[in-house]
Amino acid sequence: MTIPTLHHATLVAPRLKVLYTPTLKAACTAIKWMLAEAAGTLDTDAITRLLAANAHRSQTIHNPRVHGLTPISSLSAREIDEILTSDEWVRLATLRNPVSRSYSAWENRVLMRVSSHVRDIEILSPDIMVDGRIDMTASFSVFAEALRNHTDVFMRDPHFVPQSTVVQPAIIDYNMLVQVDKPDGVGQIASMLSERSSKTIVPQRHNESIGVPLRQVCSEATAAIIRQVYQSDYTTFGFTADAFEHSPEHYVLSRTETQLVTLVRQSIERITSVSRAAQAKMSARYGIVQVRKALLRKLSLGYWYSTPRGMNW
Amino acid sequence: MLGNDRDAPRLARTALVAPRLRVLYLPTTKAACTTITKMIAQVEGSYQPELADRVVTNPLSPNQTIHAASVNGLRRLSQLPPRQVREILTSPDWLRFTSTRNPLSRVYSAWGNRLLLRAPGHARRLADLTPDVVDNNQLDLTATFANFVQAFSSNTEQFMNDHHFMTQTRFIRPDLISYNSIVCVDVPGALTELATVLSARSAAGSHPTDASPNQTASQRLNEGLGIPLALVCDITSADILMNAYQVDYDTFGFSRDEVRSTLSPRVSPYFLSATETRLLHQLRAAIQRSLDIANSSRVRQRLSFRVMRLMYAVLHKASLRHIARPQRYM
Repeated sequence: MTIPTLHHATLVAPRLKVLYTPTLKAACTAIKWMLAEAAGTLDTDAITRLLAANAHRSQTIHNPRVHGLTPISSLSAREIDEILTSDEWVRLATLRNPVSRSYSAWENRVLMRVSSHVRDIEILSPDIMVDGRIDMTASFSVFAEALRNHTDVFMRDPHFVPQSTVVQPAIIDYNMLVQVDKPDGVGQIASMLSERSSKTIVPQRHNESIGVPLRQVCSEATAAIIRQVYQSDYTTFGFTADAFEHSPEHYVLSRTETQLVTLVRQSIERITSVSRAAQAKMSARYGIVQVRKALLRKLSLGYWYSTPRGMNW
Repeated sequence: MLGNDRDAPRLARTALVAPRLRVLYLPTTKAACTTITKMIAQVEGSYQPELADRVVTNPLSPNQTIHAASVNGLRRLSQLPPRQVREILTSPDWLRFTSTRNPLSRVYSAWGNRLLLRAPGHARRLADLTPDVVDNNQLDLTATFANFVQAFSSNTEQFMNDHHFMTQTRFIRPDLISYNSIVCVDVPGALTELATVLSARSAAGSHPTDASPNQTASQRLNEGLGIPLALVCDITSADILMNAYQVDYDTFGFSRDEVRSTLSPRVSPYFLSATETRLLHQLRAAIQRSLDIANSSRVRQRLSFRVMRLMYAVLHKASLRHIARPQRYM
């Protein structure tokens, strides 16, 4: 059996006999930490050596050097066949209510500007400011409108892709589908992993949310738009359509909160730049240019490439 | 020229030189040094913000990349030949200036930036001495600042070794460098006036055929949280800090009462909201990650240079063996 391209992100822990398809914005960071810890493949020493532009240390779990889990695509057809059909294997995927998931994706990708793959998304859903402060309710509403009107742009970022596209029960027969926003959703997974690994696996909070409740930010009109965009998720997984207030009082960040959001954005922007620059400095081309400059500096008795700018660039 | 004083190497490494403008500037930390450095680089015409994306240092935000030599394009005094250094330090044609700030405002700003936000730098080590006070997921800013004052008074020397907490008298050493201007950034309009002076020097130094000399305007690059000192600091804490910086009051004539009069004998706890506290933790985490990448890059580069040096030595010996005296390296 072959695995379609979309399932190349699916990971397996052969020792535990667990397959996991990560759904972005559905506790995938927390679950990868738990799974790698249970499987004994977690390498936390690698975290500080990575040059990847992750916004936080906890996010480095998505790097194979840190989680150490096996991508299903690297296995043979016979092994894949066994994993997908055997009763001994747990085939795990996580889900989350689409409105709650969209809010989390908006907060992370748009509000905090965590290294997004698609720059246009930030332009399409700008901050709505009130007296120098971010109006969360209005900004989220503008985002929902943009999501409906420019769905194709948003779908270029995997954080906004419908869950029914990622978790396809027709391809993988998941025997553990967990909705993580239900009480003890992540706890169930921790129990399963504890049982299979004979270790005590405790779900850790890798919470990067700023803690503003969805109900204070999302109106019924905004939720209706999101439900419309993610209709396939409701049909496939039978999510319930929670009701929201028609005209909630607008949630406006304080000046300090707005300033902190700006600082976090700037800091994340720097992470991206630093990461890119660090990787460029690892290239052979950079090394050759530096050797050439050093030779020319020596030959010209320090006349060429003697300033800090000239030395480095 | 700066003599054998223990601070001379630091001053030479820190002082920035804009040769076209004939300006020497000693950037005093937490006294608008980011703003001023940017102004000088703009007027000098050496500012290249596009190079910021190639800088593998660990600053808090894109604004801070102005301190990278490749971005500001300014020279350090230590990089110049002794004859030029002598001219810069003595000639009346040169503007030698620095900036100062009310010591209490400055130390509050340093605490906010270095310890509360955990901006990159040596001061991060001091954060262990000043733990956060958190109650019900909300950071108590008043108690956290009081912790800092306590730690500062018990470990003054340790704090003062960091540039951000060092007294301005020691940092700028007016006895070693003969400044012809000291800009006090607390004075309203001081930075605007400085911008005018720099623009005028650019105009005076430009060639008549130049299309237009470079201009600048002061644009404060604020990275604080904007929480007033009076909400966080009481008079007792202020007195402890002012006593530690007494030398700055004496040297530069700052008024102790100017800021003190705005403070109360007791302040009520000032809590950051739960959202503010979470955002602060996110910011710290992002800064930590930036540091990880920068440190990893530094280690890898060092290793690459070693490998390159080894390869160069091997190639050098091999070529000599074949060309010059084959028996020498056998």
